[in-house]
Amino acid sequence: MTALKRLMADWYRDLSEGEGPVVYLPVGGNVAELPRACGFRVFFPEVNALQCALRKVAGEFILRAEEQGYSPDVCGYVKSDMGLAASGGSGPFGTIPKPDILLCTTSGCSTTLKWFEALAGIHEAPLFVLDVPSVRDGAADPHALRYVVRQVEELASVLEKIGRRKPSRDRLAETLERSRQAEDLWMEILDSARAKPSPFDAFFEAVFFMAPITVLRGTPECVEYYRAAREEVRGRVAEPERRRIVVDGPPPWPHFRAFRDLFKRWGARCVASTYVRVGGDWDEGFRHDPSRPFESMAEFAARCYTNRSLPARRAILEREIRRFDADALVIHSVRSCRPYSVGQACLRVRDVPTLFLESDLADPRHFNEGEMRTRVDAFFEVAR
Amino acid sequence: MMDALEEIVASCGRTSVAEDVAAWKARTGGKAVGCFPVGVPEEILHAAGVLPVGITGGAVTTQRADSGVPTFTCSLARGTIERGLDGDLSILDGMIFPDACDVARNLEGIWRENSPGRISEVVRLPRNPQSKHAHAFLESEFERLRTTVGEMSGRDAKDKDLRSSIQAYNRNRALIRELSRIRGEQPWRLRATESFLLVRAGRSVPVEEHNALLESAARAIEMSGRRRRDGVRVVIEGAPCEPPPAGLIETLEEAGCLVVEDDFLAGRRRFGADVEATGSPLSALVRAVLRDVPPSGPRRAEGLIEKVRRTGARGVVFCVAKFCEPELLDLPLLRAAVERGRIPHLTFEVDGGMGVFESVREQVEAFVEPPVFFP
Repeated sequence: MTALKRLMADWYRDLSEGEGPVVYLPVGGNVAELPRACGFRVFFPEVNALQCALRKVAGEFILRAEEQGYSPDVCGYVKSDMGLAASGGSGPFGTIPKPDILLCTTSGCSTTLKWFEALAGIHEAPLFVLDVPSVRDGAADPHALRYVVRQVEELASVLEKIGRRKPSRDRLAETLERSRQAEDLWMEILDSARAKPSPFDAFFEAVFFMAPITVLRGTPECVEYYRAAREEVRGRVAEPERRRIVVDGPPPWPHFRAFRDLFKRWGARCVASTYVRVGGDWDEGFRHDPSRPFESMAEFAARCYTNRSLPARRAILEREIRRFDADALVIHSVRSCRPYSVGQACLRVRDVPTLFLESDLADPRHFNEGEMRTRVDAFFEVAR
Repeated sequence: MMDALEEIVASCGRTSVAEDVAAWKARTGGKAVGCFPVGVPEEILHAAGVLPVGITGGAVTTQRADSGVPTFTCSLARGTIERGLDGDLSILDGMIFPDACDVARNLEGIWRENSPGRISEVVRLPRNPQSKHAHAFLESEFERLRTTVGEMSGRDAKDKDLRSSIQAYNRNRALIRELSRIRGEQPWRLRATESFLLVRAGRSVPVEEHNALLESAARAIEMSGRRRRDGVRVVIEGAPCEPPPAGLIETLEEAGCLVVEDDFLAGRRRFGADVEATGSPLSALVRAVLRDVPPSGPRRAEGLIEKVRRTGARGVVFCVAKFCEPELLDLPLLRAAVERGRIPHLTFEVDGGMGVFESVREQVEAFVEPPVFFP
């Protein structure tokens, strides 16, 4: 955890004190390797909004945005960020630099597009939209993938102009190779949850462990982090577990500890989760590939969990429940994220007890601990 | 006594969507497919002999939909699933959802899982129309849709069929543009409620039938001797997908607004000019889609100011569907822009279930009070 905190602090420090052009990216299906290889510093407004929620300062930013006319019914991350911008851009982590370009991938959600449009207006910076068509079943259609690859090529020229630095093939290959190495290590860590008892919690721990693969993918620091994390997880003596659960949905960041404790007291260990796939997934052995640079970035962009149809998402849940031998499914539906939550209640899996909970990922007002405790307790009591 | 136009408008609501579709199916033996707003290319369905049915919302009490569609989504989304699974839209042989928003895209999955035997499709419209490769992608996407619909109906939409469908829809769009022109120039000759009902009437009948209705309405407007009516010229913005109930538009007008432009039922009005009916028809449709991409965010705000100036409007009324995230996210930008332009504005969050408009009337009456507009 200390190593992670240091990595995140360094990321913020480089953003506020470092040199080089800055690009804003969303988490879902981003192609961070390309701007990184062109010398850009990479900033993720969502990750910053998440940090604000975790540090319990999102609430005041959200109120500030609502004073500006943002509805109580829209994404808390967006409002948190708009409130931050209205406060001069200074948050708990220092001042975020203005973007030289915003690069919005559409696979995470269409809300990000509105968010990035607004940010582009505030910062008077260009916006490049990388359109990633949604995936109906299994893999992306060839014509859709071709469209994404071509746009990544177009993006490379745009970044070259703005960053005044051509992405050399070698540098891009090196960045993608580092992504691949980190992905191998990360998959090994996630797979360790197949052991009984599992030495690793694939939700309550993984949501932190996934930060470097989200924010620093393609850097040497990211690879180092996962190498050390794998060794640490390998060396663990697993604590006993009473329940093995799969979790679908993001965590309620402002009440993370309270939420985690609701499960901990029942000895529930999460063995697989979908939140670790919000950037993209590495199923069927997919990895970023230096020999197919643009193709593999495009494929990763399409693989974002919320870019998939509901039937495809159910297939993933069923597979994970089987693969990790889980005995219950927990669905956490958040108001802020419609691509996650609309239809989520239909994702119940036959013969697997399912607990459905609702709150939010950023807005602290939507978390009712008492009500949630009653539901969690009743679920584990009955399913005992 | 009703004038000729009022009689035509009154005829628009006499039969329900389900009755219209049932009558058409009985008459033709064809299939009917719902088109969720905004952006399904109805021409492709029409060319394959399928009846495209526009989904426009309305008052619905949800029960079955509640288990899959959260309460914090628009009433159009919840209503479509409810009506499609258990209600009047169960007469449809399928649904096509554009990925216009995250909710619409996920509705496709809910529909697919709950409607075995009926088609369920997503049409993915390019969100990067500047890309040189958007055209090729969308053409493949429309080709895919042509195949799916053709397989369903048993009749291929050949190029020549598609060209004549494009012509029929061009005629439809030209007639609707003419209604907009009249309303912008002399709003007392055609009320916004009337125009809305006339356009909406096209949702459940073949386009040729709708064209005939619009032509008779145009003739009636031409003949009518309606007297000039005073009021405050306003633009309505914020409802391209789920329109407000007709009663709300009527209330705005009764309370003193002359609605000179609105964005209701944007699907039927999306192209500012004709789609070419020569050459490759799919390619022509794609060119039109990429040419007339609706603006969003700051660009939309600029467009709204331009719209207000062009129409000589004195104010803007925002009618945004409750829980519609894309519209609610644009709203602060749009309001900030009109405030910078010193244009008075008023906002309503609406849903299909609204039935009482007294508070709307009071707010509008206060809004159009002379001090606001004539300081």
